[in-house]
Amino acid sequence: MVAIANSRQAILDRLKSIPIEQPPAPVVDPQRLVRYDDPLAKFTEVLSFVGGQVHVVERPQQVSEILGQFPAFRDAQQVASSAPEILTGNIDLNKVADPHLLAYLDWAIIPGRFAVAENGAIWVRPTGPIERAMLFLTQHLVIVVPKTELIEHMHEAYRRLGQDGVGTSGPEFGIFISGPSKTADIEQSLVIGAHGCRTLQVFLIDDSSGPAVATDGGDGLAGTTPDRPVAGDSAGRI
Amino acid sequence: MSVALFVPCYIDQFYPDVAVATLELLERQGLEVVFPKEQTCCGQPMANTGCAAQAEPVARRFVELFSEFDQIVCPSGSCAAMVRHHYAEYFSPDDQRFRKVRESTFELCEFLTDVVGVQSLGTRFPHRVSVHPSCHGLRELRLAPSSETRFAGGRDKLRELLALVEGVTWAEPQRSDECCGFGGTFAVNEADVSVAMGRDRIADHLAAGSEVIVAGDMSCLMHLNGLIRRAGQPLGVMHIAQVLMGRPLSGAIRPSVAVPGLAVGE
Amino acid sequence: MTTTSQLPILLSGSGKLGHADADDQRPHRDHPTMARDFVANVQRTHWHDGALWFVRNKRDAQASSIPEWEYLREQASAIKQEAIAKLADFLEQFEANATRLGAVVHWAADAEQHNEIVHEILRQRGIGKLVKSKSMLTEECHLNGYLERRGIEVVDTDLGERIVQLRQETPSHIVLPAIHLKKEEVGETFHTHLGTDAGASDPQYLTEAARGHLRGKFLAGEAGLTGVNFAIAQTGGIVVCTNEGNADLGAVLPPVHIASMGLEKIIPRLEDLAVFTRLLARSATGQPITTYTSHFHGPRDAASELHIVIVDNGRSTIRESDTFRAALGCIRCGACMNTCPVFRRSGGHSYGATVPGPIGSVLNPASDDARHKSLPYACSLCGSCTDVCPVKIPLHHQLLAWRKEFGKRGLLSVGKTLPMRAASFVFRHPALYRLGGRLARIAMRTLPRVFFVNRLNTWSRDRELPTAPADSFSQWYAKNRGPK
Repeated sequence: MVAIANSRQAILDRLKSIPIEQPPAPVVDPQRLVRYDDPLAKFTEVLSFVGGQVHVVERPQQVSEILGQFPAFRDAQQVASSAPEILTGNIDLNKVADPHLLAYLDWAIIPGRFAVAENGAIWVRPTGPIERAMLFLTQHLVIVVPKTELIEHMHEAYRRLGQDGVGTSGPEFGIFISGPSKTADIEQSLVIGAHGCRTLQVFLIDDSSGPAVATDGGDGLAGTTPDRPVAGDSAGRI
Repeated sequence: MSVALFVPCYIDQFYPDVAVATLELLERQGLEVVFPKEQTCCGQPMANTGCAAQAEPVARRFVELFSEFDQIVCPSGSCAAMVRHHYAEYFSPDDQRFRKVRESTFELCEFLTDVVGVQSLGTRFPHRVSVHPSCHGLRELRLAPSSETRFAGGRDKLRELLALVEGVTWAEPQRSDECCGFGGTFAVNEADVSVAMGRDRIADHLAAGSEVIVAGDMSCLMHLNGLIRRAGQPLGVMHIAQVLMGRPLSGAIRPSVAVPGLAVGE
Repeated sequence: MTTTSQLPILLSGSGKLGHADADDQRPHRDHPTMARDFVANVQRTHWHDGALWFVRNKRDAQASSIPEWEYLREQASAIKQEAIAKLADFLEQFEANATRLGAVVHWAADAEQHNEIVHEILRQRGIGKLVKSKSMLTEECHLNGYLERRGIEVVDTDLGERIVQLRQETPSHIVLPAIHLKKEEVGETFHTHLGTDAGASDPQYLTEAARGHLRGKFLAGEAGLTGVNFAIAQTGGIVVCTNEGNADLGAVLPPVHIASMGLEKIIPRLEDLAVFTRLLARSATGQPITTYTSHFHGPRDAASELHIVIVDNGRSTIRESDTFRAALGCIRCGACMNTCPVFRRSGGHSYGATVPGPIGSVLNPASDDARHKSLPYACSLCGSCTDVCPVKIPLHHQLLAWRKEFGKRGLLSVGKTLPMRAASFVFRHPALYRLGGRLARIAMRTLPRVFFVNRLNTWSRDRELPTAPADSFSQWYAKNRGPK
């Protein structure tokens, strides 16, 4: 293991011995990015395309009403919820000490922070390892997101993650989820339900007090790292 | 203005009518064209094999021979791309003659559309054609947008020119720009894969109802025609210069038939 | 290694890299030989070609749905170039941040060290069962065999990887590991190993069987190993992209998570992920994004461990070459394989390397030039790979550059160099060229066909030669446009 002990320095020394001049990559120019006339329609289209289901509801109570229409939900033995204000499960997550105990979980419901129109992804930030394990062990997953928290694309998404202090405030896990788990490893035949959830239900809850869609000012992206040049006209046309 | 005709070696030896058609096309546009007699090859076969030491003197010779002309026109995207994109390693960046040759070497179709700005041809080719966009013309010279980047837009210079010929109708293979599998020495180094690629390409053009595959590079067509003739398939191949000159359909397969004054027999 | 490189290409500096154990000592056959076996089965070749072309079409549909696609490719290329240029700084920044978050960062100079580090982590904790998600790096290091020989059960949990593992094969594609197999073959494998019904080949049924089988493995796993798609210098986090959810199950159930990454996986900033998450899945499988894009910042709690193993294994050598450096920007999407007309018709295994296809043909000769010297020639130089690459690696130009590098290193066979020496001589002597051409055409027109169509002529085995005209163009020109 002596050789391994020296590897760090040896690798860094070797990399440093060959200096390469390269300017920082230009900041993404927000003017060049896609805009959607109807982000909700785009989100619904894309999430459906990847096998998820979107429900836009006005009241939180509608979530359990709609889920009640699924036989798999009515027949569920184990339901866990980390959104008790919307739905209470029959498993108290606070009392689950080991994620393995969720092995037979049928349904799980969790809040999502925001949803992304371009790819149907929802950012989910579980509060701890049990909630995190729940996301992948459950047979069916439900994510609830305020309808106001719908953004257009991933540039906006990562700007928000930066604002939220992802990675700078301490250890954490966060994930974009876009659809139920899937595979096409056998002859490129798409099969929904690989190792994770078999179905994904996304509820966008319309809180009428807020604006319909969260949008950014045009300069939101450019302002994040002022030390880098902004790619504007000089980036050249494609 | 002096325009030099740069004829790839295999066209010179095996497909003289392609060069004749190219010459006639340019002359019809009122250009005075000369064919420098001492030309041989651009050096691409050596370069693509990895024999840079063998390619270099051939490239140097080429530049020496052609540097006196204002424009150099070549009926091959592959050979034109060799000069434009792959000669730099054999010359100093400030070599004026090299820079001049690099900047004034054109593939035939781009020369006709971009430099000459051809508006009409006055020729007729009453056949259903399918285009094979040869890879180097497509992705090195960007004679048309490739299928990988098509959504970004761009002109299709071969089709623009073919559209000027009366009677041309189109057949569209499912894969618009799949490689034919020629690839220079690839055709013999990887003969099995090369042949499989060629056969698939031909099947696609046949299924599209094409009478004749038209391309800007005769090398792709030499490979495809070799397969077509071995299999006895009902499909012709023609260089775009021949179609633009309205040569009869059989001209591509039997170069002897089409050209008055060109003694070819069999 | 025999090298006479005059360029500042130092690719010969590290000797033979990459293979930590004796896994890879099978007799090596070159690409044309391996491809011949594959392409001989015409039906199967068409099926393989069609499966990958289907993925390529899905990629086109997704790429065209983003108006700024080409702009994103330029951005991705610029970010990767920046990361590679300042790699040491970003790695140190990453290490400091990851350590701050509670992860343990290890450094491995080569495959052997990577395997030793992973084994040592497992051994010290008495771990005997490892669940693994897709990691081409561990394939490159031949980790599975290394650990199995030391008594550790290694279960690949990606469905495609599990299939090839049960069949004792290697992945034939970096994203679609079992793309070379028909569902009937998978059915037989599962019948033997998982007890599925004999003759069953329905993908839904087989996937369900694998789900049940692997659930058990996940729950029993004592450590989980994942690859890394992106490592963020700014935050010390790692990002893993999957569709199946296997990486997350492996990382969340056992108390130990090991993440293996090539040192080129570094990206400078969190916001750079916007560009890459938009490009990766669209390029790879034609999806808008992978189902799961997981961001790990530190271990999941105080009772758990996150080990990040940073591996060089020849990468720093590639960085030193101006010609090949850009290849380190590869994000392993596999788009170049799906689009490559040679890959589609020769199969991934014909490349005889962990990473096949165009990017593999660029990377592999850097670790062993003599062994992989046929790969840069397994290419018609069509350039489609370069046009699909989401980070704009000039793949086909790099393949051409390798051929020249082989020429300089004296690695070309006489069969390649001799004809080119002869051709070069002829092309420098125009009178000889004209005479030679004339004699050849006369020979072609007068000698019996057997002189040209025979087993020694690779061209004419399946193809007719062109019909030789009596006059070349230059002869025609002399007669018709002669000197004025």
